[in-house]
Amino acid sequence: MILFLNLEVKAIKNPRRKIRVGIPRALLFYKFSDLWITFFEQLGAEVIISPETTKKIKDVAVRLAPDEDCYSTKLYFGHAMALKDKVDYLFVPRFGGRKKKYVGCPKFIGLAEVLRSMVPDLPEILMPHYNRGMDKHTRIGLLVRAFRLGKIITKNPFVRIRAISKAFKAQRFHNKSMIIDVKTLQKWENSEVILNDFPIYNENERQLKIALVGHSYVLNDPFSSLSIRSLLQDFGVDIVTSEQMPRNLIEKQMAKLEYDIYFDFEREILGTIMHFIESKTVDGIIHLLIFSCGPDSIAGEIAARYSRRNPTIPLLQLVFDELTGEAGMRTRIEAFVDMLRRSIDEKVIFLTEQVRI
Amino acid sequence: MINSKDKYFLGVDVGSISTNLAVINNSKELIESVYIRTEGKPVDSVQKGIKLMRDQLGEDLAITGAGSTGSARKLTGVIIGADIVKNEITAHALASLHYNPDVQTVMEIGGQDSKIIIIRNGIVVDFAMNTVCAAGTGSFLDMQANRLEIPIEKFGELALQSDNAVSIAGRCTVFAESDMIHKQQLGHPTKDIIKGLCEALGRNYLNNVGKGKDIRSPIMFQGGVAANIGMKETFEKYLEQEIIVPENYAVMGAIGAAILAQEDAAKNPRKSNFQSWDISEMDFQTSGFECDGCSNICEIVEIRRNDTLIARWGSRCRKWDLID
Repeated sequence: MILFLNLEVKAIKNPRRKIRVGIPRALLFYKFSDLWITFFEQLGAEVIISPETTKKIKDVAVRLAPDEDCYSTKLYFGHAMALKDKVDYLFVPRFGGRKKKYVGCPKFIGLAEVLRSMVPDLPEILMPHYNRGMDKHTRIGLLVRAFRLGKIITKNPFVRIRAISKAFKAQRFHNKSMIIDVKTLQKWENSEVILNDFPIYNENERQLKIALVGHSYVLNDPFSSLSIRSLLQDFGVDIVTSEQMPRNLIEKQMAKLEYDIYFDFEREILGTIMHFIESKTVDGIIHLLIFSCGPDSIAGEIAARYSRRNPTIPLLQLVFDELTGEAGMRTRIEAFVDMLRRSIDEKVIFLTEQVRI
Repeated sequence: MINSKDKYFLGVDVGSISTNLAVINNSKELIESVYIRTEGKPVDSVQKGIKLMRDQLGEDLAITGAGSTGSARKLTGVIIGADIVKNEITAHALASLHYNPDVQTVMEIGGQDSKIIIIRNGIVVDFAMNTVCAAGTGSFLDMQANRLEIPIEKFGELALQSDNAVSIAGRCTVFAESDMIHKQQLGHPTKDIIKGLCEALGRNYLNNVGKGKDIRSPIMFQGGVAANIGMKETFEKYLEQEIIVPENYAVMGAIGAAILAQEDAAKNPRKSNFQSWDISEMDFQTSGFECDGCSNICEIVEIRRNDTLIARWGSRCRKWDLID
């Protein structure tokens, strides 16, 4: 009821202005941005995304967020604050997991409520709940929730149905273009193609291949990962990331464990590490961990043990938090690349011309 | 020793506590080395180090290549005109391998950081550095030596005199210090406390930096702390293996940087960027400002030599970077 009143007041104030929905550029935004943005835009809302993480956003985040939260969750608070006075609604979905057996992170479910209790004067938070693990949260249930959520922007049921369908289509397209197929991966592993912009490398230097593994919100946020992607490119390294990995290869690796890893996103991370330790088709693996992330600390330990048992492919684990000094990280990455480059084991052939896929 | 036909290479390693320089010849033999304290002023200490080196070798000695390493490697590289700027892991590994080609483990404990390098068949295969905490590094030992009014050089000898080490918490320097004070107030002799401290720091190193690493002999122990014979004993006790402390343990980083310069010159011969031996007479100014171009508010550093801007860095977007 209150919702409706709000909406009408706003509509009267400025009848022409679109409703503004703000989405923080943090955490699951990096996985589901296409779904969310398409959904709200198709409904007729104006979507405002917080800017890329900056020092200012980080400072706000660290001051505001609860101490025990992981670094990435803290950053979420900074991004939400960046949108505070710019939007009518904040979209903070409570996402539990997309599979019956597996969970995301409990912090993602609590985020919206924590935000509301810590910052009372935030715009109204849209917090639909979806957790496939719960009995009532079926796939149909998700559609029904989306339909109900859409009512805030438009009452027209047809527009809402179309928005849902377009949003899922956009997400499918995103997944398809993000994840490479097994054949392309094999070509990359054989050094026949490169996956990124051509790395800068000096003559007489070996072209290196590294698997860069971590959460989407670390890999794709240059601020929290200290620009590791461009750093590696400067060092003449071509990378494949864990989010690009074909799902069936990951599941194949997961089946080898004696236990089931029920953290959905860690499966992707651990599966990638195990795949490359087994296939030995990269020069090295860099595993990005976030400080005080529970699932990361488990996956980190399993990966470290797995690598110790099969030591052919070097694994570098880097832990990031708000206190991470850039100098120390740079030294580690530089030393790691140096180590790979100086190794006499010539697994990789020279690429003489750029081959793009 | 100095032969006008030979080629000479300079390596400079500027760490948080010490600055060391080494000059080697084309066969990677050490000609001369200098070890001084950084005292928080890397530029001044590089200038001072170069001056000392020049006084020992004479200013006519031509430098064919120069390398820099250590936490101030970038800054040092600009000041001396280094041909190669490399991280300290690579530098230390190369120096150790030159000293003993069979080495499999290198333990390095410096002023503020410690590292372990695992080498197999002459190739670095794994390494680790201490994370955020400087517990068990040289500066803590320095501080305790000061508190107990024992010259740091005597620390190791004193530890060896004890045959009854007291147990000290080594996980954190704050706890270690209060533990030491507690034991001293109970009446334990200083030598036992010092031996206990050495053991605590050795354990801390093996459990943190060396955690999960396959430590095989030959094992080399270097860096400033290797001067402490008590630490060497501790490692021998816990690892049950012989520990080699190379003759030039304190300047291994600089030797490594010089070897890197030598290798680089051999692979890719060119005229060296090395300034000249007059670096100590030049005027270097560093200044900084905050860029207000975006909300990252990067801290930009500028380095001037005799009023000419020679380097600038620090921006995330690299718009301020000076490329020559």
